Amino acid sequence: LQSDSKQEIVIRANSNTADLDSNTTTFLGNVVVTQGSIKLTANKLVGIRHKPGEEEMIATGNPATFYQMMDDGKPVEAKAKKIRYLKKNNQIILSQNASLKQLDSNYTAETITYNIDTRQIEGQKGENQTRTVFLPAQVDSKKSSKSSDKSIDKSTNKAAQ
Amino acid sequence: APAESFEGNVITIADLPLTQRCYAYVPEVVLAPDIDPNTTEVEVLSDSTSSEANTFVYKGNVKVTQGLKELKSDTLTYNSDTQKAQALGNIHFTDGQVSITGAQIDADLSNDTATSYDTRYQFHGKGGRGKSDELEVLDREHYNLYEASYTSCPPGDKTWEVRAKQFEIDNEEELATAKHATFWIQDVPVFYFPYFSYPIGSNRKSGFLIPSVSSSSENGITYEQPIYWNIAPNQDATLTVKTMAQRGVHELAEYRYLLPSNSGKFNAEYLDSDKKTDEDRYLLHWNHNTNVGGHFRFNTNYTKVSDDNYFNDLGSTVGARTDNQLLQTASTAWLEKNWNAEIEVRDFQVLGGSAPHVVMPKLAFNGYYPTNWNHIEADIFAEVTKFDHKDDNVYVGTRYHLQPKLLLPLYSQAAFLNTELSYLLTHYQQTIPDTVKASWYKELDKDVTRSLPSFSMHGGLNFERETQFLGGDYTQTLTPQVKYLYVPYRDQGNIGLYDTSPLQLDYYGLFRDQRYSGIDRIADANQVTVGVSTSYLDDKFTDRFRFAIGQMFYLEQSKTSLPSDTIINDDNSSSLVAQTDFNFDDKWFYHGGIEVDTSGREFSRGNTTIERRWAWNKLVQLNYRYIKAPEDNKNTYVKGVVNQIGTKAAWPFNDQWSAIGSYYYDTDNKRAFETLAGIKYEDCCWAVSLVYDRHMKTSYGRIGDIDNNYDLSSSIKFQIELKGLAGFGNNASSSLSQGLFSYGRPFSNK
Amino acid sequence: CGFTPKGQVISRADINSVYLSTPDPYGQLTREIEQQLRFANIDILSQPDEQMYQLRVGGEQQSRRTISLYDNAQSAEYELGYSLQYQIVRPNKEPLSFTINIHRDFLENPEQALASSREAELMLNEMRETAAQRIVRRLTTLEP
Repeated sequence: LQSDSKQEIVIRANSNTADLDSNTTTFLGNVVVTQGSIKLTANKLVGIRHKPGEEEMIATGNPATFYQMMDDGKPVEAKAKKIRYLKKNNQIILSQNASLKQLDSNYTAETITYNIDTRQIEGQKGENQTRTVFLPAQVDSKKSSKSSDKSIDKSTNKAAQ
Repeated sequence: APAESFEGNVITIADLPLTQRCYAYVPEVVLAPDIDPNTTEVEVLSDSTSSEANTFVYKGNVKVTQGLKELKSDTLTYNSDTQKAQALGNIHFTDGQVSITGAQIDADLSNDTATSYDTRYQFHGKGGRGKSDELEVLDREHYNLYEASYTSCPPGDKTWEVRAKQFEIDNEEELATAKHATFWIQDVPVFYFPYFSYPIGSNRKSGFLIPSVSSSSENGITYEQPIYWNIAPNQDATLTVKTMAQRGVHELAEYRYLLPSNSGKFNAEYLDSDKKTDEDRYLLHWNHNTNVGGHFRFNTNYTKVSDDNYFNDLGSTVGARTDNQLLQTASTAWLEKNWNAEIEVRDFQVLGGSAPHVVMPKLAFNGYYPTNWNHIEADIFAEVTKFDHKDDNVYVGTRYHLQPKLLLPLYSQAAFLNTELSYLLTHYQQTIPDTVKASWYKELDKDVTRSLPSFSMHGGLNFERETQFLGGDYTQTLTPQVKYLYVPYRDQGNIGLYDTSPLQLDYYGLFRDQRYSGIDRIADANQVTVGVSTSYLDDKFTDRFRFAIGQMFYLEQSKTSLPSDTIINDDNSSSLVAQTDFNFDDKWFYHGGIEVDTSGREFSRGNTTIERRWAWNKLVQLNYRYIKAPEDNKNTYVKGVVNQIGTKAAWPFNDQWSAIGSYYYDTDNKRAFETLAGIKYEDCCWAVSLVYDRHMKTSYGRIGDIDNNYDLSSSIKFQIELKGLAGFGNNASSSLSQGLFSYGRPFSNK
Repeated sequence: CGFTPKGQVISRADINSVYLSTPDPYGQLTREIEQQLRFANIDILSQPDEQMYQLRVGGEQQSRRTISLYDNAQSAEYELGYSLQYQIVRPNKEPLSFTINIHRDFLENPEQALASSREAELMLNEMRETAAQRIVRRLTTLEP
């Protein structure tokens, strides 16, 4: 959501160690990062504080996951072996069999960069090409009358509680 | 006369080796159930993607698939909101019906439409291909091409091509329409057409558009240019302009319509002041059927020509050169479950012969009443007919006829016994002219009433057995039949002949109640007809062999005769009738029939037809037909009324060269009715045929006076066929049906 | 010589009612078929029924072609052709399709155009009768 970036970031993990020289803290085991509707899970997370406002987080997992609810009620879910979050331009970079799923399409590539504010997605191929699948629902929603839109709102509210 | 084509085996492209060689490059048609674009997933593969809100940009070996549709390109941009996509660079698109390559495609996935620019297209399953600056895919069945070309020749073969400002292709109707088109042969523009449509499938009208050139002794050099106009899915029209050097310009128009309860065809043909006879020559033909709810019916079948030799000199799609009686009839009827009523008028235009009586009008009523009282059925037939005649010194009259009938049909699997008792009551009011055309008119009376009963018992047994024949297992059926018929004698010399003449006898005809057609002579009879028929059925229950033989035995001589019978038949039996058919292994087909005058120990009628067939376009048929001359005017005929040997053959030398032949010879008068030979060369997308046809011109002098009615007409016809522009699939029977005799295969029973 | 009355060799299909559909319900062919069905005492259902036989008769096609000429090359004998497709649908089984082709020829007399046209009509009706007999004979000899 728009308001996410103003929320405080909460990081939970089994253990964490800080290294003041390199301004990095490392969290290990069931790492869960939440900020507003954003939720990041991973086995290991390394947070680096460069200059203020330019913090960076590198999450790795099998896979590491990213979830965010957008203003239009459509959630975005992403997965990859490695997810880097750059606060400066509010961007996440997924690499090694990365996949990004929206309500009406899912998308896989070797690396995906996703800008949270502009929702811009960039993808690059690895051994196999990038793959986008538009699900019929996405095609339907364009056509469906008002009635079905309500149904989507209802389901998402439930998920959010 | 419409030809009987091979029973249903439409020639598909795949059968012909030549076609396989020519069209190996053509992709198969992939038929898929109509997928709804709204419910089918779209998958896009690419080397890289970038997207913002709902516009996606794909770059590098992009491949989009949706159901059967597949699009490849260098780049693709897609807006998921407007669902519009644009592909650029090295584009390949296919949807199972057409394959397209080009520089740019704009597609709208929401309604299945697309426009492709600078395109090459290739239809699946047929040879049609070409280029197009702009190709619009409206849906899977409809395409529009602008500044485009079309040919069915394989790539690199420049035999012919059509280039047009616009093509509309309708795969559903299997029809294409071109506007502002020019026709090119080997890169030379040959014809220009403002508008024309042509079939792109095999079942639409074919063999049109292509001009044909012929030269005949009758009409000199003739150039025929047909133009096909598809007015609506259920109506079409063909206009043919035939310019003949020695006669002038002959315009033939045909309009066909197939509406829900009305169908039919209208033909008008006109030749303005024929140079040879300097008269105007025309033909009118209307064949129509109305059927409303099965109850109301209106039919017409009317043909009129300007002069007797119209078909003979000009030829026409409506009548055959040898036709001599043009039916002009119309009838309207109301039908119910157990009765029907009809009003009919009927006239003829007889070419050469004398005009017959005219039915103006006939009112008929038929009633059927199956009483459920132990199987008895009652029928009633009533008719009032007013006969007229163009020749004033021929009698005319009105006939009132009533015929109630009681039937007792007893049937079981193994036997049947059918008893019929009817009573025929007829009244004539005749007007006899004072100057008479024939002496027997003098015996006619003004008012005549005739009434007589007719009784018959017709029984038969059905036997069967399993048997072998030439190594095959067959079920043989055997059906002996006996029929006793009694009709008392009435002197009918005072009744005129309106629609009565002797009926020809075949095995089925032996068991009729009547010797004459019509009602004006009811022959007395006290006779027994005996007959037996047998057939061999193979394991699929199709007849492979049939034989039937029968004869009538007169217990009492029949005293009824026609005025034209000069010799009274005093035998005590009719002629022996036998007929046989066989279809051996779908290779040998035979039909034969004889009528033997047992007392005079000679054939009165005989015919035999044998055909050896190797393939649909490889067959030889031999036939012989004989009808003995009637006793009383033997001198006019050499031997028979008909004494004719005929042969037809179709022979492919290889899959490009083939020949057809047809030869009919009148053995009595030692001259050929028809000598026809044709040769055809076929290539991938065109074929050319040359047919030499020499036939006897029909003369309308009296039958039997031979000398001055022997006039030959010969012609050579050169025909180009452009496959893919004039439809596909040409079966031998249509080419074999050129000339006087259309082709018919003996024993074509399934 | 091994002949037995019909019905023994080819066992009769256990059919006692059928639904008849034809393109011309009040025409002569339909009446002939209904009469033959009555003779074979098979009653005619008013509504199609999944568990009962169905007889679907297609449209009839007529043809006429010249097969011999008089010595002045006018048409002498014509061959009349009558063909018909029909289907027998056995309860929950694939429909069986059959074709009937009947050809008969007759000598046309140019002096008697009206009588010849009546003879052609008579032969057409006789061919319809033969077709109806063959349809019902086939119906009653099908293996169940």
